[in-house]
Amino acid sequence: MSKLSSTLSPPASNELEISIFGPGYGESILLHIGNSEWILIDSCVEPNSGEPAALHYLTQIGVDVESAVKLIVATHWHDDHVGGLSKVVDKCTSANVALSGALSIKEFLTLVAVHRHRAIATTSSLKELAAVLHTLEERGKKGKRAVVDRQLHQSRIPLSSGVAEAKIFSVSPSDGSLQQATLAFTQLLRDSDKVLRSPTPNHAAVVLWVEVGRHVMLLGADLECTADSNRGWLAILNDSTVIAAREQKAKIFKVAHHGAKSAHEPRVWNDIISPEPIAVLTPFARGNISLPTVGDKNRIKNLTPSAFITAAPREHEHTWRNRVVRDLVNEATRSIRDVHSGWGHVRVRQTIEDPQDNWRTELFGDAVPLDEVA
Amino acid sequence: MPEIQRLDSIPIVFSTTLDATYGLQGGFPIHDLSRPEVVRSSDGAEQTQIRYVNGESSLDEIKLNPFLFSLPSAPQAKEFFRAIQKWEGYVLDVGRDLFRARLVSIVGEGPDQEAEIYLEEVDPDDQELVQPGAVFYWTIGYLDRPSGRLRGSILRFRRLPALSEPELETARREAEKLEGLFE
Repeated sequence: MSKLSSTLSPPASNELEISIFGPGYGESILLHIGNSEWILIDSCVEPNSGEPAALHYLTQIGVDVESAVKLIVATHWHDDHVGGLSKVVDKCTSANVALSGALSIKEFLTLVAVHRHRAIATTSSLKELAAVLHTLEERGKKGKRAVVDRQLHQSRIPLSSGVAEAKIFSVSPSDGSLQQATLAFTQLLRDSDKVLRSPTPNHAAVVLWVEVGRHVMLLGADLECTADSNRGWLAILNDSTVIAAREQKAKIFKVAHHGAKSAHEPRVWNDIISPEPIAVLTPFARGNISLPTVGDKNRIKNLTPSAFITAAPREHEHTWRNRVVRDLVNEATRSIRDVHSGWGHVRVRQTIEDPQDNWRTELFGDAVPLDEVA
Repeated sequence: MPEIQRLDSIPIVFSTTLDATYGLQGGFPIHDLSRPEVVRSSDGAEQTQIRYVNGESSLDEIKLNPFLFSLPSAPQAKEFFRAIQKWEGYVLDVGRDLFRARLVSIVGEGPDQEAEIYLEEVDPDDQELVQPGAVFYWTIGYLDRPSGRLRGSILRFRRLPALSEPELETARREAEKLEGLFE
C-alpha cells in the first residue's frame, strides 16, 4: 500500500482498477476493466473543482471520456449518489446508461414529469435524474433497466496471453423491491403538496457483480437488509441466478450503505466474498447521522484487515470571508459546519492475467485505512 | 415548450414570494407585493395565474402550467434588497427550538454546509412548512432605502400546490413516453 498525494497515472491496458471517491457526503466509483474501457457507477462532486469526481479524475489521467466510458450506472435515487450525474452522462457520449429498475417504472417517471414542470430545488436529485432522461431523449439512445440478473456490459479484453472476458451484472433490485418502490412512488404522487423525499430505506439499489478474467468484485451500493426474503440482500442471496452460478468469490467489496449495520448481512461476507477481502467504504454525514459508526468500523475491521475509507468523518467549521454574513449567520444559528470536511480516493489495481491476488491499494487525499479512523 | 410572452418586463425585480417559491436569484422590491400579476404563454393555450390575497405577501394560488414565467411591470423599487449570500436549503430534522438543514450556496461563498437554525428565524407564515425535506431559501444582504442601508436576513420556505388532475394526467402521458426510453 502506498500513500500518494498527487501523482496520478492511468492504468495499463491489462490492469484492472477500481477507484472509489467520497467526500463526507457522496459516492462515486470508477472501474477500468482493461483495454481503456471504463465503467462509471454513481456520481458525486469533487469539492475543489466542482466537477463530477469521476470525470475530474479521468481528465487528470488523460482519459478521453467521450470514447472510453462504456457504461454509466445510477444505482438509486439518493442525493449523495447522483451529484453531477447529468453532467457525466452528457460528457460521456458513447456510454450506455443503466438506471435502477425502480427508476424506470411508470410511477417514478410520472414524478419526473410532474417535477419537470414545477420549480424544484436546484440541488434536487430528482432534477439530476430528470436531466439524465432528457439527455437520453435527445440522443435517441435507449437506457438499460438494471434489475436482478441483468447483464449490463460484456467485453473481450485483449491480453498478451490471450483474451479475458469482462462481464458486469446487476443482481438487484428484486421483483419484490420493485413492487415496494412502486408503492412508495405512488404515495409520493398522492402527497404532491408535501415535501418530496426519496424513499428510505432503500431496497431497490443496484448491486453489481463484476467479473474480469478470474477477478471478481461486489459493489454493494446502498442496498440494505430486511427480514423480507424477497427484498434487499436476502433476495440476492436466495434468488439471484448470477450469484448462484458464480465460480469465484469477490475479492473486492464496496461495502454497502457506508458500512451501516442496516446493510450488513453476514451471509454476504461468508458466502460470496473471499475471506479477508479488500473492503472499501465511503463516509456519510447528514444531520445527526454519521456513518460508519464506531460499531460499524469495529465490525468491518474484524472481518478484514484490508478495509479502507475514502475520508474519516469529521467536522469542520467554516471561516467566513464576509463579516456581515458571518455575524448574521452566527445570530441565526446554533452551529454551522462545512459538509465536505474531507475528500479522498481509494484506488486498487491488479494485473488481469495475474492468477494470484496481487492487488495494489493506493490512497489519495483524506483516504485512510479503516483502523486509522479514531 | 411554448415560449413565454413577457408582458412588460423589468430588470431583476422579483417578489419575495416568487423568490422564495421558485428560488429565483437577485433582489426584489419590498413594497411590491400586493399587485395581482398575470403571466401568459405565447401560444395562448397555457396560462400561469398568480394571485395575492389582500395585498399580503403570501402566495395564495399558483397554477403553473407549464414551464416558465416572467413578471409584468411594476413601479421602480424605492427599497431594494441586495443579496450578498444566498443558500438553497432543505430541512433534515426539526427540534423544539431549531431545525437542522443542509445549505447549498447559490449566491456568495462557500461549500455545502449543515446548520442548526433557530426556528424563530422563520417567518410565522412559514412555520408550518418546517418539516423534513422542506426546501427554503435563505438570503443575507443589504436593504437599501432612501433613509439608509440596513442589513438583513430573510428565510422563506417554498410552497407547493397540490397537483391538479389535469396536471397529473399530463404527467402520466409524459411518463408513458419516458418509459419508451428504456430497452
